[in-house]
Amino acid sequence: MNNNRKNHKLYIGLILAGLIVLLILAGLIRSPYPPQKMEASLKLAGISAAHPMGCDQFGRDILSRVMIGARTTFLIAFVTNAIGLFFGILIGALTGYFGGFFDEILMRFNDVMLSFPSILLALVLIALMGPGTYQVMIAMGIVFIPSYARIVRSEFIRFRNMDYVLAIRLMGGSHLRIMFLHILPNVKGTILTSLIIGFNNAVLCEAAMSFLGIGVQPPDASLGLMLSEAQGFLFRAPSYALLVGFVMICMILSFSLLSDSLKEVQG
Amino acid sequence: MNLLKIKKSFLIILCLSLFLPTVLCACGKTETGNGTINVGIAQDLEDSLDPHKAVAAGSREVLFNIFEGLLKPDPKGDLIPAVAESYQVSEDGLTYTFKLRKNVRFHNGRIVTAEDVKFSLDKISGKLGDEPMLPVYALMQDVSIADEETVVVTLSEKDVDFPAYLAMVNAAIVPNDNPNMDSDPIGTGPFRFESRSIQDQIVMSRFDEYWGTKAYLSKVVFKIVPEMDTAVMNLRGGSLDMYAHMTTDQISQLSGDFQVLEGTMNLVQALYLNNARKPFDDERVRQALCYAVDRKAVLDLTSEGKGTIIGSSMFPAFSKYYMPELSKYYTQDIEKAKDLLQEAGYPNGFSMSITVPSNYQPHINAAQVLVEQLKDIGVTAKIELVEWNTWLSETYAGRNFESTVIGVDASYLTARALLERFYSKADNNFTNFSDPEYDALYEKVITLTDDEEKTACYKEMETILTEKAANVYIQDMAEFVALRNTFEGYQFYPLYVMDMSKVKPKN
Repeated sequence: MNNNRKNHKLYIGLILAGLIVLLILAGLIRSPYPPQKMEASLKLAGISAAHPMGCDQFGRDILSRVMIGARTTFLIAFVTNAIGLFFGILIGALTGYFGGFFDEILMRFNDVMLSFPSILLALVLIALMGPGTYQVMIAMGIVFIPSYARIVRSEFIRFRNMDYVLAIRLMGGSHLRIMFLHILPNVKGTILTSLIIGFNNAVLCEAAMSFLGIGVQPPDASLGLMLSEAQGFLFRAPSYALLVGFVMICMILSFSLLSDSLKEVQG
Repeated sequence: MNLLKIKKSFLIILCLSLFLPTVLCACGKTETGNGTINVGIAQDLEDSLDPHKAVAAGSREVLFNIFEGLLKPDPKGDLIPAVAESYQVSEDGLTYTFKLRKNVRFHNGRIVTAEDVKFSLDKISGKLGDEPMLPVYALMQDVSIADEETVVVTLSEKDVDFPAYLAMVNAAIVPNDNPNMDSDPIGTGPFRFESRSIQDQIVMSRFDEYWGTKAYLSKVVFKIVPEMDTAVMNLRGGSLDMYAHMTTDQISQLSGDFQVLEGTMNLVQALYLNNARKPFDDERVRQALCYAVDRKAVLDLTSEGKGTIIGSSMFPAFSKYYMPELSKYYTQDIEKAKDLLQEAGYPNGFSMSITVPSNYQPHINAAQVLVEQLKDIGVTAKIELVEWNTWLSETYAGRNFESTVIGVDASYLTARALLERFYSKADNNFTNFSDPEYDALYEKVITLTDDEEKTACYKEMETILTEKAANVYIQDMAEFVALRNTFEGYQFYPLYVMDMSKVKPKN
């Protein structure tokens, strides 16, 4: 019974994620129309066979734009988490394993970072670097470091005095070897679940920033930016906002469900 | 942590399902009390309620209802006497004698005297210790009272456009005994100031002792609604009766309860190029850009084809100076544009950035279309959105940009307001345009007195801007005023003003 429910979550998550990935891959190969192609006669055209999601305010095909928009959003979320994870593991592992004064300093600094709402911190960084896709990746990446660092640190503290670690140390294994070859593999489950949560956070954060006009710049597309543009046409073309919103929900829901079922499998 | 994640995705679903009902029930309608109108404006009068301090166009358009100068503009763009009944200019053009209208009253009931006029003019010309309100007001060398009903103004140098400056709200006649102009503005206009709550609303009521045609409405409430989508909601919901400066996209979302009046914004929207930067220092490159752009398509894509295509720094409302033929000087010709680029040494095009203030959606939209069109001649343009303050300080004042899409307006009723900024030594020449012939014409035109000669000279200057392709001129944008069907009579001006005194309830 319990096992069954778990599977449902996993399957739904996999199907949704598969759809999104399919959409992105299809966009990589070929989108139905050039995503920037404007056509005055198709302004805010409704759903039709030629344009399954309709057209936006410049007569651009929304499906084509969702394809590259989802890709941009996905890419931003991926790079953001890569940056956050890399530095998070580095800082978390060092501070958790060694402890001491160094740990104290870095973790208090970490607390300061965490005490800001993450979007505010990202806003400040964007103000310094200027808006744009790459800047968003860097800004959000920096914002994501502290939470990863904290998770990794707590796991390292848990493992650092375990018998097997002490055993390797007695055998003369170096600190680096112990940290990254022996402890890290034991932590990877925790990291994986938090990575998926982080991924969702990044999707939402990108959407919020593009919505505020400081993320991806027009005429490029991202889901957040498209949602922001669609907002102005809620009465005339409600399907625009609803469809883009739906794609974003699918993306987030799929990863939430996957992370959930993964956690249960780990038990 | 995981729970939080799930919650967030549910929150999105919740938000989406919440706004559906909003869409459905926003069609309710409320009756407005007879004689009161609720007008939405985009920003509070943050600079000042004092007409001698108000600099923002959005402030001046509201204060226009409360204040008048010696002269004021009428909807056709002509100057009509207001506080002054008539005026005479001396032969040498240096002395203006204003005959004051009898029994013009301030909102506090006091009759306007020659002392008030002298006080007001002295104040804006900087004689009372402040900086001059505008540099042109410093031309007033002396203001003297000849008798109770006559004021004589002497200029330090001749300027035929002087009466036009006096018709601006900034040259309003105010009482000489009101210390609280910032919070309790008193003027002579058709409406009197009632109250203001900051970032919320400004209330005006009809001034029953107004010297001219009295206003029809007894009360006007200006409500501050900075967000256009909110304004559309409020119009549909009934809490607003009127909103000006709307775009086609917003208008298209209104219901049948509104009449939509079409006017022009009276500004020159263009892709302004930094003429001092490479590659825009080359005339051929600028011309290539002009040939690459299909203005008609810009209008079709951004405003359903509404708007007037222009070809130089002049908009049609200035009918005396406007040259319609210039708008056809450059028509899209990709081959010619490519040839010009080749000649200039850019056979494969180049990359450029277009800086656009993020709060002006129409400019962002136009820029997006331009980016698409410039691709055809191999020019890769990238849009950089900046905050309005950054645009003002970095792009406009700092001249640190490659190109920008913006609309430039005229603050007073002469061609000089638009053409002065391309004089190479002008402080506000943000495009760094520099042309000896143009400079010579400008230096000549400000000394001319004959109106016909002056107009001819201004037209020559416009032609130079077009021929040298100073900028990629696009259009004078169409603007729309949404007015609830229970009202009528709104009139457009060639200036950025909102005259509420002509609006009346429909029977």
